[in-house]
Amino acid sequence: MRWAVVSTFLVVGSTWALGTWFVRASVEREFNSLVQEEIHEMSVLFRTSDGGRSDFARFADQVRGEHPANPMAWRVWELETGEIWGDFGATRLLEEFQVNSSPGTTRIERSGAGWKEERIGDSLQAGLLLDGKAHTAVLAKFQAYFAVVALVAVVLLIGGGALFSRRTASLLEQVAERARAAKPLRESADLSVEGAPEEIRDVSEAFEELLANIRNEQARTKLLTAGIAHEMRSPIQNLLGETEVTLMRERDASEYRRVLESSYEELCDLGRVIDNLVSLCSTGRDMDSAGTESFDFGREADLQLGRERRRADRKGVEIRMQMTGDLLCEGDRHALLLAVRNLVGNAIDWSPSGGAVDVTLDGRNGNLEITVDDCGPGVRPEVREEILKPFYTAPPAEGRRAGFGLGLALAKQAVAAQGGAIEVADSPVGGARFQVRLPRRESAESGSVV
Amino acid sequence: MSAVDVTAARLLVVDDDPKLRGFVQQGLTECGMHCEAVGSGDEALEALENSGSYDLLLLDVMMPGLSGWEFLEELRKRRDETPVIFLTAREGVEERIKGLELGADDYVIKPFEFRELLARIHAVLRRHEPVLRTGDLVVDRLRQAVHRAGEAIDTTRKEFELLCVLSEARGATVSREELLRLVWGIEFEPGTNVVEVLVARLRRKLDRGREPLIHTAVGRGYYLAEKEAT
Repeated sequence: MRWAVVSTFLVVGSTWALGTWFVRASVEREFNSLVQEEIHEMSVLFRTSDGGRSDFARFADQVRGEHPANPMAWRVWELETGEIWGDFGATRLLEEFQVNSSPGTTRIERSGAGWKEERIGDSLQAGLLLDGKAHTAVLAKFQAYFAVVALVAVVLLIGGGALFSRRTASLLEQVAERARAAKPLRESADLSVEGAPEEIRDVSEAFEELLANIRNEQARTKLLTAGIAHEMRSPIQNLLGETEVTLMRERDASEYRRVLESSYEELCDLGRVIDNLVSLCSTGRDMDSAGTESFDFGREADLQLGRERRRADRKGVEIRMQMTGDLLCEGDRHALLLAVRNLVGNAIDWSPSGGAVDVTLDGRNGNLEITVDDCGPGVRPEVREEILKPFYTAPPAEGRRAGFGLGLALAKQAVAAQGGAIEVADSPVGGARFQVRLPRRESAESGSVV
Repeated sequence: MSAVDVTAARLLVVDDDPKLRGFVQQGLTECGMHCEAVGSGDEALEALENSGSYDLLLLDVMMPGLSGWEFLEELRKRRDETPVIFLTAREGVEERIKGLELGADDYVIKPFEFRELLARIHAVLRRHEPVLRTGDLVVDRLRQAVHRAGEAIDTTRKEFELLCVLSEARGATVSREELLRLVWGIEFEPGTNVVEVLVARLRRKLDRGREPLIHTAVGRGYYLAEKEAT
């Protein structure tokens, strides 16, 4: 604030000083040229006359008449002797301004008066004293006027500036207050301030965005922690327990084998849980196509569905896989295959023993179409949207634990990141049908074909 | 189980986790490959210098000292084109792309299934050495073509796959269980003679009127070789 005041004063002050100096200089210049002119005129006039004193007086009056505002005084010397030939005009001025009795020696230092000497006629030297009182008065008035204006300007500038910055400061403080009061976990904070100019609104919006991001991060962390606590504790618990109990005494090979197989099942589960959790909570999914991988969806399905196949085998469920057309694709290989594995795993979980799960991969049209059909109880139309959200738990399939419902949520996220969509419908074989439509290339818009 | 054969594929596992080295080495050896293991990038460079070349490298990404990436960069800088499959935790798509761009052929994400790793190893080896020869038999794994003495032989998909498995074993015996697993993806005993039937069909196509290449190791399995082992 101090800065603003000082600099305003400096700027206005220097402007004022510069202005007045300039005006004064030009007035003086005008003045001097005027004096020059008058002497010159006198010289011309005098030459036409007889050269007597009365002539001079007459001309002096004439010249004087042309400039009523400026009193004039003349002192004329004889060049040869240096004696005063005569004083004319407002002679009191000569004494006032201390005009010397010798020619060529007078210097007028006071501003507001002009003095010039020039030879007139053949033998005379005339000096003209011009009193610029009127001009000086005008100048003084002008200076005063200018000073007042400058002062008013300073006051307005400083006052206005102070007012503006105070208002801005108070608006920003309101924004800060609301930001402090906002609890990130609540619904989106409203930091908007009434009647604020655009810049302040920008700040509010930026803050709101920041808070929204923090909320997202916290939600993810919460999901991750909860997921770890719930989904991972159980398999690890079983591994610990079964192993501990088994090791308590000697057992035969078949018993060890059984425990190992059971552990293997838990470990496969654990692997998928970790995959799902990490994928769901991974931040900064960038849609940069520079980060995509080309792969054959069919080949990868063959390679990666092993775990699901074995689970189906154990349960007595058949997996029938059918691939048609070109299944080349560009995107996040791991996430997309994880999505399909989750869908197939789900289908197996809900299929009765002896049933079959049909998996079709169709690449004949522009998009990739992946369909998973099961012959389980199907999905009621009312919950078809809900089941794709995290945290959704239906009553668990027989013999399985109640999960957190992360698998389908992950599937939806991975498919959406590619720009595709999942639809839940009825399967022609009686159960549920999960249909995935994927563009071959990652795209931000859902469902667009590349 | 198949015997270890010096002409079998030579692999090197590079990972700082001793348990991982353990089970990978054991598993791959039991699948008929020759597998060595080291614990760091520097040791891997040493192994390359001493033991010559490998058919494939399994490379962990997160290692103290010379990281997997740095090792791979160094390898490619030396113009070593040995195929590489890297083992990574899921760090995000960018990390995996980076690995592929640095010159790796494929990757698996930890925790991975051993079977998936095995399948990818086979695929990479196939890409790098598509053609296998046994005597006058030429098996082109990439083009799915079989020739004997220049004459093309038509095979079904399953027949071709069985032939590939036998060729890749380079004369080592492959058991029935192995064949069931590798060719049919079956883990349990189906109680049928599906393997015998297919081998018989293959023999008819391949060996009729020529030197037999498919031999039976009684009680153990089958092997592909020019001469019958004594």
